[in-house]
Amino acid sequence: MTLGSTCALNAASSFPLPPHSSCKERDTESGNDDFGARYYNSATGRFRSPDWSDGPAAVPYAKFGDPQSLNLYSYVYNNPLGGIDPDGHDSIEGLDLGVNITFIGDHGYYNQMNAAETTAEAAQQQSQSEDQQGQWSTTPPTSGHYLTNAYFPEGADGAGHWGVGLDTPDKTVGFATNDGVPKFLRAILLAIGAPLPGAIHDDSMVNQTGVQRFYRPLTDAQFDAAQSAMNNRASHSGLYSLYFRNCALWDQSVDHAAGVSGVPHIVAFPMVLRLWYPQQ
Amino acid sequence: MALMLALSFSKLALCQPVVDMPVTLEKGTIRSPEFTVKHKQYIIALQVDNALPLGQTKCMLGVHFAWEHDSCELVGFPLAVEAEWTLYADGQPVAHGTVRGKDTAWETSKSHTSRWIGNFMGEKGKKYVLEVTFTKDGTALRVANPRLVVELTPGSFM
Repeated sequence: MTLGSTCALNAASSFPLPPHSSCKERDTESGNDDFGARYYNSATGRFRSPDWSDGPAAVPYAKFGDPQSLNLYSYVYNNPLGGIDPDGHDSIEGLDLGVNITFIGDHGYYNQMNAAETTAEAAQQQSQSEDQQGQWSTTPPTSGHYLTNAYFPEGADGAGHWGVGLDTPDKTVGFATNDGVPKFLRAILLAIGAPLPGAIHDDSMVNQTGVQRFYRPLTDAQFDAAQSAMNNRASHSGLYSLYFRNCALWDQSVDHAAGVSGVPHIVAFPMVLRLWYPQQ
Repeated sequence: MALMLALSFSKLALCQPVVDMPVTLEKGTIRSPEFTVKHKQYIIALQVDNALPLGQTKCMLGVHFAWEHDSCELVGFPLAVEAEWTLYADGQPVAHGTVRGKDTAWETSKSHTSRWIGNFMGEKGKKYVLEVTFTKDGTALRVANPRLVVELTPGSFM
């Protein structure tokens, strides 16, 4: 199987998506685009297989009130101009800047930033419910693939940092600004959500004090999807923004690609600049 | 807004690495110019531009993504870098390290990929010199503009 590497951004596209407009690697033999979790066929404008998730769900990633979300083969609910699909699961729609609360851990609320739709308390309850099901553990599995989420409370100059890893108990990877900016200026730019040069890095240089790590078993398919997501970001690190592309969202995107719920954590109001997650 | 965007996208020369010197990666020893630091954590890195495909750069620089199986031998991009380094402060060696095999200490951005080969806590007021002895010919990486870099440990990991 050979993979093509050309792609273009999904801007002003028609539907079905024209060739290479999804910015994903294309299998030149089958003509399918590799989204990580699934293959997309641009000729038919459909994924080749239905969407899936790790947790039990009758219709994965379905949104009540949006019948298009019930179609498990569609791309971005058949509205490619209204969002993007980073990994073959669900989609990211236009972000609403209501209150800057981002949380991780619930498919139904994936990447929502509008406090009107949920609250931190609801996220916490959801995540605690999932944790009670034993899906995450603080010890790595002894066999098979697994996902690692790590929280560094003293990372980012004390603001906190999240990293993600695969099949390794302590070698996680994070997303950060590429620095090169004086601290005071960086704080201002971060606070206003300005885009800064981003970089993917391993977490070995992050302050290791009090690190907490969480593990979750993965199937082979989940592992492949997560690995694809990590490779994609490593190849295209892009810009960093405190609210839209931060380390927590990087962590979340890999979790999401694997079809699992992430460890809950919240990016609080910008002036606080502290990642917080409910103690268990 | 335009000014903010300009600031965001520019390199902002106010905080450049304290050392950023081109290296040929030929066998032999090089010494950095004398430099001073703040009382902060610094990293020492071999950095190259993303002039080659990332997979090739990783293999030649010895960067290993922990989530991947190592396939460098299969794809035929052998490791190009082996070195030893010593950091001197006011003429006295204060840190030493080797660059052997592959490592998972790295950073990659749109413009460059770095292999972090060491770190140290700087002491304000001291004059530092970094000496690196390359023990393997790595000129195959020259096309990617290799540099020896000493810079603040990336502080914003959010």
